[in-house]
Amino acid sequence: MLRLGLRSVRTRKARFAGSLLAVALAVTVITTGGVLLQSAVTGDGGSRRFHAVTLVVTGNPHISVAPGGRPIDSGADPVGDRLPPPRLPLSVAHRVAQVPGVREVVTDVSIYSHVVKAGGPSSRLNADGATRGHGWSSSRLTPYRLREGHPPVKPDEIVLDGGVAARTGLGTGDFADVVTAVDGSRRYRVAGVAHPALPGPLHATVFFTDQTVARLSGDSTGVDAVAVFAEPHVDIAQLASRVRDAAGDGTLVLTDTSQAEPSADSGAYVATTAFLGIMSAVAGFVAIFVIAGTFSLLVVQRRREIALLRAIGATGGQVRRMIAAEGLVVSAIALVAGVPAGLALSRPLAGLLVSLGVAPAGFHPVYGAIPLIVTAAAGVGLTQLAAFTAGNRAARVRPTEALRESAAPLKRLSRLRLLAGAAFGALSAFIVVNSIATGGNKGSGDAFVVSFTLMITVTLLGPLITAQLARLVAPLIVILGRGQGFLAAANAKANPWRIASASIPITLAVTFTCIMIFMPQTVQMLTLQESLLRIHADHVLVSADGQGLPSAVTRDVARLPGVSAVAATTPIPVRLGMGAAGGPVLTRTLMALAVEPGEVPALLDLDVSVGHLSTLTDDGIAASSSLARESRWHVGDSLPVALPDGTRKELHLVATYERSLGLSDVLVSADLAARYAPQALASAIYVKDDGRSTADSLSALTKDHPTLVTLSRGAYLSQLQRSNDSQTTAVYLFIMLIGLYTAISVMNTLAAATAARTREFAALRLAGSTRRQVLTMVGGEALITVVIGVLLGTLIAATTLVSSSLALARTPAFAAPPLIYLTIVALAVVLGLAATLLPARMAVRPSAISVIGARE
Amino acid sequence: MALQGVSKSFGTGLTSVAALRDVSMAFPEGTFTALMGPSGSGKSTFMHCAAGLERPDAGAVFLAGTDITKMRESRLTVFRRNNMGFVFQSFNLLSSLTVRQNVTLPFLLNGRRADGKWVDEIVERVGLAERMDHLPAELSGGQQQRVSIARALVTRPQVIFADEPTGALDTQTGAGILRLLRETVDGFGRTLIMVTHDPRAATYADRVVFLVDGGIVDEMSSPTVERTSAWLSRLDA
Repeated sequence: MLRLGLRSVRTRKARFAGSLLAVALAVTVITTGGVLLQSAVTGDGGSRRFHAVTLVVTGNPHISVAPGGRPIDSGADPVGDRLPPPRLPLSVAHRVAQVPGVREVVTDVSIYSHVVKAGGPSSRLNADGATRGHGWSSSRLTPYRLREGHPPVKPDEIVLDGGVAARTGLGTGDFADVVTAVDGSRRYRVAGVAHPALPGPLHATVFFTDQTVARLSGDSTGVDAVAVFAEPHVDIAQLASRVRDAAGDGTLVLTDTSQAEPSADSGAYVATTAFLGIMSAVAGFVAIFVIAGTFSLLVVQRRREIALLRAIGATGGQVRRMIAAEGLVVSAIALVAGVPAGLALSRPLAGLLVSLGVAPAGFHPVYGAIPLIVTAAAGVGLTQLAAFTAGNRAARVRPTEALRESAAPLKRLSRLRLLAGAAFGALSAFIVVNSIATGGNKGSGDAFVVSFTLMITVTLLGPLITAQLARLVAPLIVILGRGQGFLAAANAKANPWRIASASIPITLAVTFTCIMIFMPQTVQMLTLQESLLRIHADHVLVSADGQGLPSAVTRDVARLPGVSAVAATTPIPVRLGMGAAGGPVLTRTLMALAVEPGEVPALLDLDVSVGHLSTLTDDGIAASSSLARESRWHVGDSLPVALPDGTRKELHLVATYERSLGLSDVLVSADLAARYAPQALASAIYVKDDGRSTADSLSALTKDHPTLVTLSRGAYLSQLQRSNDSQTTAVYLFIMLIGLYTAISVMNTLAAATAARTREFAALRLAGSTRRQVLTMVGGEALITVVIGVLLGTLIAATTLVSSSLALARTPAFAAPPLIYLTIVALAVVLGLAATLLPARMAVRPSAISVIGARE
Repeated sequence: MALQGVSKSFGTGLTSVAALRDVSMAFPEGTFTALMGPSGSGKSTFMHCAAGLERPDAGAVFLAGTDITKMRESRLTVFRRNNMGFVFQSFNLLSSLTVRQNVTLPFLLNGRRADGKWVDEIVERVGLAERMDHLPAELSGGQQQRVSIARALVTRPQVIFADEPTGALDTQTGAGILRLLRETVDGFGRTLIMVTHDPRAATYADRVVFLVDGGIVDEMSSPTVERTSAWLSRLDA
């Protein structure tokens, strides 16, 4: 059968060219996606700051939340969803220093610090990532070498790394203002400039004296890491195990020092991975449909030949194997063509992601075996899956069809397909209901899945649905002219299979384009709406570097005359126990916002549904209604919580609130944050006037606080409205790429379907139709096809968006700018018509009699 | 080959149409039978049932002592492949295969090696020896039909079914094909059952069987053009 398949592919190159193109494109897309995804996953080489060190001891971030509970499996934490390691007591360093084989230990402290030229304009600031502050003894860990000046000796002396010095225009002897969490802004003198002795990305760094940095960490009895230099020729594995024993519980000993802290690019790599993951999933999903579509078309076109084979004694199994063999041949050729294309494409695409700011500067394609294996498996697997379903249909072709004059179109869906379609329909309904009931971010994310299940439903029940829709849409086509319109409508109604297989790719394209563009816009719109209702402050203060404002700012604002209320919101990571008491504790790490409960009511209307925020003391916690619903929490419940410094605590749920979008799902008291996370910075400070305008005095504060940005309520809200998400452009771009891929597939499917009708067109012309009339009829059918595709796509997208909105904000409203939507529809129409009319023109070009006279 | 009390109807309930009503008929080995009748008389259904392409509602079809209506689908397919040959009006060759590959297709389906001498002999007899490596599109209609006859013969089947084998050919080419079909009976000793509406084609048969409304109404031995035409025109009147 492989021979027959090979032979069949070879002599019918034109007919197989379509499926070949579809599979080759799918292979290209999967290869590129796989290579880039792997590059993003493995691209982050970790931090190189501890490069010179043998071992690093840090606090163990995998803290069990239940007192005395089981330790948490370190693998249970998804990427980027973990607590930072808690700080270590100094005693750990003393104990580790005594371990045989340890030559020396260096304690490392790492703090937020932002350096500006003294008196320099604050407008020069931008969100160029965090600068980290360390003690000068940490400079040996990398190592950094002094290029000019001398090490910091006095408390007000600092050494800058070369990058920071160049950016800020500071040199030895200059004065700099450094913003830290504990001090706020404070003036220092630059004692020297140091450069790392190894290339590669490192955090921007400023070195203080060891005493100063210990004070600035807020707790001089603790350190962030203990770096270990080993004696020469010591077995590192044995040393690590001795150090582990000495360091004791609650510590982690890392032989791979790059994992001691997140690298400067780690956040960007996580974002890139997430972005590429979603895009690859969508592209893969599209590929399944496109390949399945071309194969089913291939079988429809060859019904006669298959029937003949059946008549002369081919069993259903043999026909199925023949189609499978053809699929194998097609996927083999497609792999040969598509893999190199995908590899070639990955470099420019990686460059594009970097230039769009989605991926970090060092992002480049890494060519490994895994993406190739996945591609080969997917290419062959998807093709075989498509060939299997198409082959099942082919095997059901009855031999007597070979004897009939005209091939009868398939009339009925198989029972299995009906059942599967119904099952997916029911599943979709369940997901919609369940996601709305769940609500919140999780519900909204679940709702996204509905687009996939509905798409599968529509594909399975395609002919059934299109037959019904064609009945509805067809009368509109009569405007094209009585004869042609009638013919087009009649054809559409008589051939629901053809219409279905041609309109499904359009449905797919419209659905995904709409969802990918409108979903983020909807979230943004809902966030803005909630923020509008929530924020009662007159001014919102934020930081220029995106890292946050030190508590000194809040203190100074509160002292200003005319200010009646001030509340800072300070995000701190907490790990929450989500499960019921007694069982294994499920945990989730969330950013909780620390707030001053007394000040909040005047500034933020959170729409508290149960309980009172005023009772949010330092053993209380408040949660959004959706999170409480999802986790089955009730006001009064006691929740196990792990805090950033490793403390475990039971917090009582005192209130649940509705308006969490753009804020946080969890609130704790500012006192709690001050005690357990002294380094935390305020993401925003809300300010209310007592009638007098405080705008000027607030602006004046920026002199003392260089990272401070003061915004009026209106300015803050309009900033929310402006999309500052660098991924938006990238999303558009990738939608265009996926759209292009889908477009080629739509073209492919429609062109093949049209070209197969050459004889039919010739017959029409012999019956007296002009070429023009034939083309009008084909155009009419194409229009019906496109309208059905757009209609279904819009319905699926709308269902998804409405469920998502209902889950997120209890409102069915979603953002769909008419101009963008109409552009999508227009593109679909142009695409559908062009893909049908161009091949149809080719098909009617030769004289009708030569077509009819020609043999198969 | 024999049919016993075969009935077949299409559709259900009120729209049900009986295509064959309790038909019995025997086809002795080495004979050539033509089936004639007006459109809708059931001659195609008769042939489909006899060939196992359609399953009758009632009755039995025997070939070589086996009731093929009792066979399961896959066994029947293999049985058909080995014991029956088919020649259709048109579109009966695989356009992607050469003449040789088309002729030996049943062997390929059987997973067996073709008997080279036997294939050569058949191809010689049907007059295609020179055309073995051509594709069907490069052949005339008559030559294509010769290829399908060669394919029908290649498995040495007991029965060959021909459905309007000359329907798409001109008179002269058709006559050549009919002579070749006659030769399969006389020279190869096959049983041939042919559906036709052409009285001239029927004269090559040993006998003509007339069907009307799903039943056999008459039978004629040593048919001539005049007698069959007269018979058919009586029906129209």
